[in-house]
Amino acid sequence: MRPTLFISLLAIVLATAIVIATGMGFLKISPTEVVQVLLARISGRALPEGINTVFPLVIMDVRLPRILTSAIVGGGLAVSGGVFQAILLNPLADPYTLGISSGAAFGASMVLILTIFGITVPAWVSVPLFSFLGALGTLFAVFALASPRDNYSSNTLILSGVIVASILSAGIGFIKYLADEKVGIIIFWLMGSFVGKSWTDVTLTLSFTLPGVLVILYFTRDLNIMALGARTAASLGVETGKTRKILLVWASLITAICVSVSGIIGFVGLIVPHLLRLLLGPDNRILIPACFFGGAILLLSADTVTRAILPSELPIGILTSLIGGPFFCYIFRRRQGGVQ
Amino acid sequence: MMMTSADSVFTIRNGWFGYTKNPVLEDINLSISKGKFYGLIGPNGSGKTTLLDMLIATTPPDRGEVFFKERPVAAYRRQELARLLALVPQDFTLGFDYTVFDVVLMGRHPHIPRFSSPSGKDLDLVENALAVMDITGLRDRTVTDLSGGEKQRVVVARALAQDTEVLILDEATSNLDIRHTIEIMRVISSRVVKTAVTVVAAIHDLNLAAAFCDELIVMKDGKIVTSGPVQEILTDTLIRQVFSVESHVTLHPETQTPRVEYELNKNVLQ
Repeated sequence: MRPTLFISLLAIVLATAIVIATGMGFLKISPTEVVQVLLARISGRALPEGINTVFPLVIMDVRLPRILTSAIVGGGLAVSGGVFQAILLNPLADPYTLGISSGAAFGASMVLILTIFGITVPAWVSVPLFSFLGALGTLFAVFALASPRDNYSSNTLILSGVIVASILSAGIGFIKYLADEKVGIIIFWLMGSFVGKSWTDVTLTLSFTLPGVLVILYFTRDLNIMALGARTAASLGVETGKTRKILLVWASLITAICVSVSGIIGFVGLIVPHLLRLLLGPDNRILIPACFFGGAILLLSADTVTRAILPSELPIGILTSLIGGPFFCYIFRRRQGGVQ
Repeated sequence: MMMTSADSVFTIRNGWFGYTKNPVLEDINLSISKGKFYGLIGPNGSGKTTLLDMLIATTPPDRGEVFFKERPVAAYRRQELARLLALVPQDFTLGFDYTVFDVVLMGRHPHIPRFSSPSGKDLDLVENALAVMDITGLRDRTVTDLSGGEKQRVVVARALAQDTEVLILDEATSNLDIRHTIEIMRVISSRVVKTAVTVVAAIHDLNLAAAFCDELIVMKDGKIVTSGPVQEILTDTLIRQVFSVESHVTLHPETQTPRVEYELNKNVLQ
């Protein structure tokens, strides 16, 4: 199949999935009615006759923001996973490799310290804000630790990520110990969820993910060349140090905003790029856009399963890891079998 | 002081690298002329790779200047430099399953504008490089599945497709069997003769260097010991001084190229 055709197909599947998912839930709405409501809202015209007046409310205020947030977060995580795998030359890297998730979790735990000191900020403001700051702080720490002299080589970066993450984990443990029984809010956040996402969340995630994905798409050919190693890539005209830094910072920013909005959702950023690479080959010019749509479809579907199909809502991070983990074991095992 | 002349490709003036008591490179002065095959020889750790990195501007000197075609090499944009010089490294690792064709096409990267597709000329050069290195039959195989010798031919093909006026070889044939070594050296030296490409190659095998190079640059402990035409400088004394090995250098009766025979049972005490 032609790669551009495949990407267009993924885009169509995503659009269809958004419409179908919007209709699913306690109140069933047919896809035709969903499209009619959406068209009426976009064009500003009145609703066609015979559509329940509650539908626009359910679609526009309740379901669509959550569905779009999950799609953007899924796409963002998959794209940044693809970038991390390509830059660190490690097909098992994911958006959390540099310790971003630990940083976010540490930031979120800091909220508990605030409550201990008697400062009360509503959790829906403070948790995302602190986790975003935590993720950013980790990114700075990892870069400060890795030396620019060796152009941020994969080994140095991964090692720095591991060191920073383990210090942060100890910090999280300490805060949990101090917080005693108030620890529930953090634990729930760590499991990831899209419950109650609003248009603010859609705008917030999109305002980082969209420019991030565009910047990454601009550099996809350089990313291909960088697979040959830094020295050879430099001899082929790629500004390796600068390009690595720009791509790592944007991929990390996308991850940070996704984590702060939805909590830690594992495996999407690992599996989607990995699987698509098996299907489409390693060319990032095709792989990265495919990752965006693939990740969006996957996380949106997973979120719809917990929201509308399961009898009671399961934290999305748990669902993706429960399904993604064994599935990944299967691919990993099969690939090893193929090598022998 | 050395001057840069019109046929000079590279000039290094007082090049130093490393601030420690034992610098990696110490006061390097060197001039490389167009259309010649230079062999860079010296023991392990004598600074050959660092010197090559200085030429391709991936390692700027801590002190001193490097000129490429009368302009400081640091003043070139990376892409501009990549259209003029190509590197053939010794080892080649690739984490992802690119095909042989894809990797050789990467040699055209500096010539293809961003978001453009390769032109007919780009594809012709790739086909030509594949044919010259005798790997046309491997074009759709993934590079990770190839043998060491096949991989190295892909690396050379990629550098040939880059179509540059200078080729830098960093022990490009050290991992290859003798047949592929000779094949690659022959292809490269024919480019020197036919299209006046300049080659600077770090080579371990002295006989190989003597057979294919016009001039030798001899390094030891971060310094250039001597340089000049192969016949003039490759002597028993030089080999003893630089490599601490006893040898006999004789001239091949027909080609008049020096041949080195080592005294395998004698050690030289320093």
